[in-house]
Amino acid sequence: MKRQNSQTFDAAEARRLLARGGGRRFWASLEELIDQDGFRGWLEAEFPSAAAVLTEPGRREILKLMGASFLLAGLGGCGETRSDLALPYVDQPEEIVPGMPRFYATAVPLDGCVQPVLATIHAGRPTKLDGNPEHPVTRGASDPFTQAAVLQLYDPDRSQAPLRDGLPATWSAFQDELIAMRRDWAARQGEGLRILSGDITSPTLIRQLRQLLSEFPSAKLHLFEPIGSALRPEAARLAFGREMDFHYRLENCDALVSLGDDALGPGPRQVLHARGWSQRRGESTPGQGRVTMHVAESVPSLTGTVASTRLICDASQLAVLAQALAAELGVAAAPAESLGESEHRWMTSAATDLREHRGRSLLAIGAHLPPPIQALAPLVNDRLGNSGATVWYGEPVRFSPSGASSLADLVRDISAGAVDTLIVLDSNPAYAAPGELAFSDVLPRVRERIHLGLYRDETAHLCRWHLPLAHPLESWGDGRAVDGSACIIQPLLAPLYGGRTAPQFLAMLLGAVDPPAEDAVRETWANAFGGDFDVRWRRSLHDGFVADSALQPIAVTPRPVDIPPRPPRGSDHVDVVFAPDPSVWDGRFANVAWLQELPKPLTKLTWDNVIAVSAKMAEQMQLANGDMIEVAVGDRRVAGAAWIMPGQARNTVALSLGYGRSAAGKIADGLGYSAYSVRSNSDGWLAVGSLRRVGGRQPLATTQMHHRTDGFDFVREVSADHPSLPQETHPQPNLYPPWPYPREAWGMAIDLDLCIGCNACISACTAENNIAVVGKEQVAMGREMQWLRVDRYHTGDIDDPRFYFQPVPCMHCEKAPCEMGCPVHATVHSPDGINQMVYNRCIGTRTCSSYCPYKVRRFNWFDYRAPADSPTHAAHNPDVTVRSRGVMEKCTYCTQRIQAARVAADKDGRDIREGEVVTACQQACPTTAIVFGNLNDPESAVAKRRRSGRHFVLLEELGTRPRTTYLARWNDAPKKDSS
Amino acid sequence: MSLTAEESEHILPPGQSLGDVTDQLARIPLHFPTRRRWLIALALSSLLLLLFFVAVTVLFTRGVGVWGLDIPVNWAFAIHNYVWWLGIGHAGTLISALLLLMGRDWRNSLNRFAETMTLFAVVCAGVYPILHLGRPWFVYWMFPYPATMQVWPQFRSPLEWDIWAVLTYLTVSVIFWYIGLVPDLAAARDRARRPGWQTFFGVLSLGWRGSAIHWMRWQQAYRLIAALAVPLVVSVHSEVSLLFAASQIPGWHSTIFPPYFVLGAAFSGFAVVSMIAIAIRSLFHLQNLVTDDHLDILGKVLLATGLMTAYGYVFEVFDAFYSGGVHEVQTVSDRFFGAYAWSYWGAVVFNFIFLQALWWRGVRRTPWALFLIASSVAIGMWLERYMILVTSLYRDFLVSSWGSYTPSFWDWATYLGTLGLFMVPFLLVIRVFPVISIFETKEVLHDERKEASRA
Amino acid sequence: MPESTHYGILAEFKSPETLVEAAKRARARGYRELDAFTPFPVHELDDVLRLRDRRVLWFGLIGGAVGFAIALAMQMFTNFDYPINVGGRPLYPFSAFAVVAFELTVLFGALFPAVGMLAINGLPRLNYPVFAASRFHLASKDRFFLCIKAHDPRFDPSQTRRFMQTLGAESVELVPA
Repeated sequence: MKRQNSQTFDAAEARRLLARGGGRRFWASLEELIDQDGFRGWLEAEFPSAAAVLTEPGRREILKLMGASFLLAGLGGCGETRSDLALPYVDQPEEIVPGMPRFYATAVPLDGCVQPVLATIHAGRPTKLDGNPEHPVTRGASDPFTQAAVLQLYDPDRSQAPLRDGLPATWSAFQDELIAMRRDWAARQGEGLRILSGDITSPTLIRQLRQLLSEFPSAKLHLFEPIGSALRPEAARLAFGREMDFHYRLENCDALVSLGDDALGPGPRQVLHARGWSQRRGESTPGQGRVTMHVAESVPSLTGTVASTRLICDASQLAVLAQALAAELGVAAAPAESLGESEHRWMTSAATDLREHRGRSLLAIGAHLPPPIQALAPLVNDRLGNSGATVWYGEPVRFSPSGASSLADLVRDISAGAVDTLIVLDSNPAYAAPGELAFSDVLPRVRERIHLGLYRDETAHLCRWHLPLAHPLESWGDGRAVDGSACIIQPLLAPLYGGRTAPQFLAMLLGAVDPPAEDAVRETWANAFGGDFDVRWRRSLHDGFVADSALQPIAVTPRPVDIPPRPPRGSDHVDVVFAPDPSVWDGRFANVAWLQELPKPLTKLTWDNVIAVSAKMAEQMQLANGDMIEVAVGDRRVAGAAWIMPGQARNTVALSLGYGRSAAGKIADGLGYSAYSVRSNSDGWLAVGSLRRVGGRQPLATTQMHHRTDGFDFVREVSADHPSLPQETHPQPNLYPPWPYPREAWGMAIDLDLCIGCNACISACTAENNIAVVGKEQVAMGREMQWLRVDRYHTGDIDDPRFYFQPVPCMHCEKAPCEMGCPVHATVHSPDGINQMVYNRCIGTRTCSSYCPYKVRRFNWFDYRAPADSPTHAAHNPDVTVRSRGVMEKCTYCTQRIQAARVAADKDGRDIREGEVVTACQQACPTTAIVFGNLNDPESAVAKRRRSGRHFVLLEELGTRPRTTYLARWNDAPKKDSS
Repeated sequence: MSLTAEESEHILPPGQSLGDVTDQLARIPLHFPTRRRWLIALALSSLLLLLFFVAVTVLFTRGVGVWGLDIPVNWAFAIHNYVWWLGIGHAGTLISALLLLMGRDWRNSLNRFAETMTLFAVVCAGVYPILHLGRPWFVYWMFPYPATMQVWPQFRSPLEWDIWAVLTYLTVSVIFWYIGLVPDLAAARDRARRPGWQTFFGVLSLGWRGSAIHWMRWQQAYRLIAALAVPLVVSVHSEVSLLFAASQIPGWHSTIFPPYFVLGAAFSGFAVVSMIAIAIRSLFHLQNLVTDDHLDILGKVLLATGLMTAYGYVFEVFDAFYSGGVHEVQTVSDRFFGAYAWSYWGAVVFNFIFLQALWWRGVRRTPWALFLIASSVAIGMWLERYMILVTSLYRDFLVSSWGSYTPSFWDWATYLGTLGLFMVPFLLVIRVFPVISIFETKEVLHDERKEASRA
Repeated sequence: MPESTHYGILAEFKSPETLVEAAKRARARGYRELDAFTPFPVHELDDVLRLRDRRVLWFGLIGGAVGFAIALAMQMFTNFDYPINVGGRPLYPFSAFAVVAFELTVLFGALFPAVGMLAINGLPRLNYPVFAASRFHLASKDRFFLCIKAHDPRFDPSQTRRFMQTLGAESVELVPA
């Protein structure tokens, strides 16, 4: 782009650019102008008040402000720009039909891999992401991270412009410097040039990196992923002598034995595993064989909550247990340590089930356990003939070249002064590096530090150059899903903040000037597709992934492993385990408000991470929730709020990663503590440490204060002895005649036996229905706004409770108490039996909520809408009203979707078909726990569920006739353990 | 005197001439006696009123979130004080209407300020349903008018009933109060010397001249309205209780509520009447008209209504256990031992324990003692309303939605503000209007004299 | 004789009893156009002066009926005009309509007699001939007045005045019209 050399800035020129539509282009040109003295003068003339702000460090602020205000104008242009190269998922209209959403297949990265998604675009703005229904991994389902990616796209805290030494600069300025750098690298063969990146699955990036490394042979690539695939690679190397990915096929699994492997827990594989598990679990009916799960774990996990038998043992003891189990199955030597009585009982019953279901059983060992222990799993599964059936092994999806080295190596080299230039690719080691490495202390020793990232994060603050990375939804790119299939990432709109994509950046490193975003990706696939490029390229864009690119199983036989003896643990020490946070993962999502306000599955906490301790430990230390405690690992310490976790192993303390950010953005800064600071480099998952109380308390915002069912029957269970609940035979008496529902009678049935509490439904509902975020204080006051909540209950002993999840949307009672209470007809019944909320009629008496026995209504105590100039408004679903202050709101069964289906049906003069209306929560649910449909159609899934013997109604005795009902959970805990 | 009021024919000490009484009462507005004490009271009340306006401004500008409300407890102070104020108002109507029909002469010394109290208590109550709205500027949507949205109010809602009940009650109270006031305004007019007062009372008295035929029609109207006012009072607070009883929330959904609320209302109302009676009689030295016998009777009424309310408490508990509903029992135990047990036991103590002192005649006839007990009842009933609202809502059916409630600063500010909203106009009225019904007092004096002569 | 120049003759008494006595004798004398002014209602007068007027009570009855009708009509019409399923309740739940119906019955039942009473009493009327009488201000204090109106056929300023004095009046005064 042409640069102005004249010292005086031409305001007329700027205005002309302004006038010439496409605010985004103006924004782009603004950043080119910014490093000119002329700009300052112009700014002083145009925005005197702004100029006052335009000092160190406020200079960045002004860019933000202006960015935000120019943004909506900028978005205006997004619909048309660039998307001419992308293909609509469905038949593309002549031009955009206002109000008609368009759907594009693309993908969003998570932990190196990508999640295939189908994006909903309204007027050129992505408003919702769902799993790509065509893709074998997601099949339309999704997880909270996928749902929330769309809000991150509009995050105003995202990096807005290149920064040189913290001052606004431009891409062209960077490329100018890059010319000199490249000359320098070339001169020294890349000596001292280091590239640090997170896990990579993108074929394009891999190709470019290879190219770069061959151009500068002495340059080095370092890979660092805070979570990634944990210790699996080492385990695979031990078991197979090479790196391999483990893939579970839970849909084939009748007996699952998990040792600390949270297969159903959050992460890239959650959707895949959850659907497989639910298929197997859902198809079997009482009497037939069911998938039995034996889970041994130190900290309650989603997998543990749905297990048939759940053994609680300290993290360090898991290894012993695994070895004992392997020994029992004759693939390893018995461990030196002895098992406790209950441990032994669990181990034998697990071994029995594994044997009995030989070929359809699976031993899963957590990826964070010691590699030799993990290496036992392939042996056992091989012995039982499970390989290929319930588990298979494939080439690693993640890029792991022989030359690649670790973050530790990098730190060592830096200390040795061997690093001259460090390029950080979308990674945040300054925050996420193990405290042991003290990365941020050594980083400044590197002369040339370049950071490419979404945010000006902790690492960016330490780098000389910070370059804004384009958000995946505004990028051309590619990546591999967990099954290895390659997904093409296509932009849904032009970059909002002038970011560039990673392939673009690498192309720059390779010498290109202002490379177009799509070129590198096209080039990669041009090579791959060869002749019929156009056809396959268009097809891949349309589908969102490259057909038949999934990895194939590789037949391998595991080698026996010898297990090194374990050092005995001091009795005064505790096991400290590290786990990704279910809401913000490793911290990369910390600034996404939807995720911060998402109640974590097991604690229902929001906006914080805690140090989870067992009830026994809390008793011993006289701890209450919120008391500040300090965990010491070696000489490193971190303090956080204590949380008593029912069902946690006595001497295990659980830290969750992802909090304690200092430069994540306005949302996340200062929340919680950073568990990375006590993480060790050798084993980042289990440490031996000590616990002590420090003064003070920290207020915690939880959405559910009480969790014991206290003898109420909100959640019901059936078992082999009592396979069905007493069903209501005669209709309840009623004073009034029933209202007829001649056409549809919408209803929802939620199978508690399939719910794993993953929160996908809540986040999908948040995205679909423009649910406001209210912040920690309001949540603490009990004013959270989520329409759908997942209640979590415990029964039994606090040291070993049974966990229950119960999603509670609006019940849409036919005899709705709320409607009767409203004096102004603001909540009434629709002809198809939906309990409607009429926002613009509501005057806020809150009678409806007072009368609601289920307390599913939410009230706008203040104006919870984002400031008028906030870019996050662009994420709103235009089909759903944004509620203002003083009105009540609640679940609508996604009435906008019902209306859309109704219009479509009426156009064709037919009734709405089964499956035509899918609520957001149902769509997201990976386990099909939620089913929605027409009760008048006896063949509909929901009607079928209503006929099930497990069917029950919440608070049926009140006679509210809910349309939302439940299926009881199947309790398959063996008698002896249930006592 | 050795006889208590019921036994004796004489509620007022004999030997007072009609003229003296007329002058004594009519001169209170005309030549106001206790200026200083009145001014101090007015100043303090005005401060509270100012606080009210500040609180309301904050409330309207920032939203109802400034209160401590949440889900599940999304009704608290506003509704609770609304019920409390309305309850207080009821005693005025009961005294002047019910006792008039029952021919209880002693009410003639009390009805005027009791009715005045009613008016402004109802006003205080009336503002709350507006304040507690999420969008108060749309309050008129509760009235049936042809709206552009073509939607009408929803007449199945207890809140809708409420609006009509309260407005009816306010209107009828005003009519009743004014009709009863007219003859006294005429008396004041005829006593007034300064032209200002003469015009003031002259206009307000509508040219009343005490003609026999006028008196006859006046009495027909007055008694008729009284006859309507009594069932009205009962209906209004029964209906208020339906705000709660119509729901299914444990602790609310109970058939005992209407009588329970009405009795509680009378109880708190008579307490406040006693307080005002004692205050006024000492402020204006009216011991000759508001006698110890009056206090004695008020004490007895207080005791009686108190015991009836206590019965309500007992029955509520019985109700819960009799129904055997697990949630009902849960709520009762929450009231006894839960986080807000203090409000329950506070209500019991302030309402019924101190009350027992009223069994002793000496206590009933000791102004300060009666005053203290009455105030404790006012507090007790305030706690009761709080208890009924919060302890029912904070833990309803689903354990997962259990919550808590703490009144915020603005909750308190609004409530204390309404005290000013009550006191200021009340003080102004007793400043310019006869605080005690002149002609009805004379009627009593005359009747008593006749009986005396007959005896 | 110009009766029109007089309103009537006003006699002042100390007590209701003497007033009633005087009224009786006046009627016995054949006077029919009598009126009395008292500080508080004196019931005996109603019979003596043959005062009969039940209209106020009728106003009450009519008012109540009107209120009830309005309430019921309003509630039924609004539900007829905007029929919608509210909590599965029927469109015309009379149990729910009862409350407002009762309230409006009371409201109008009270308004009608109040307004009606003032209307048939000819109030408000700020000036009235008797107010001209020098001692009439006592009528609202502790004196009881009997008045024979000038348009009584048997009215004669001098005679009537003399007759009044024989009734033991404190004072007798001719009130100009």
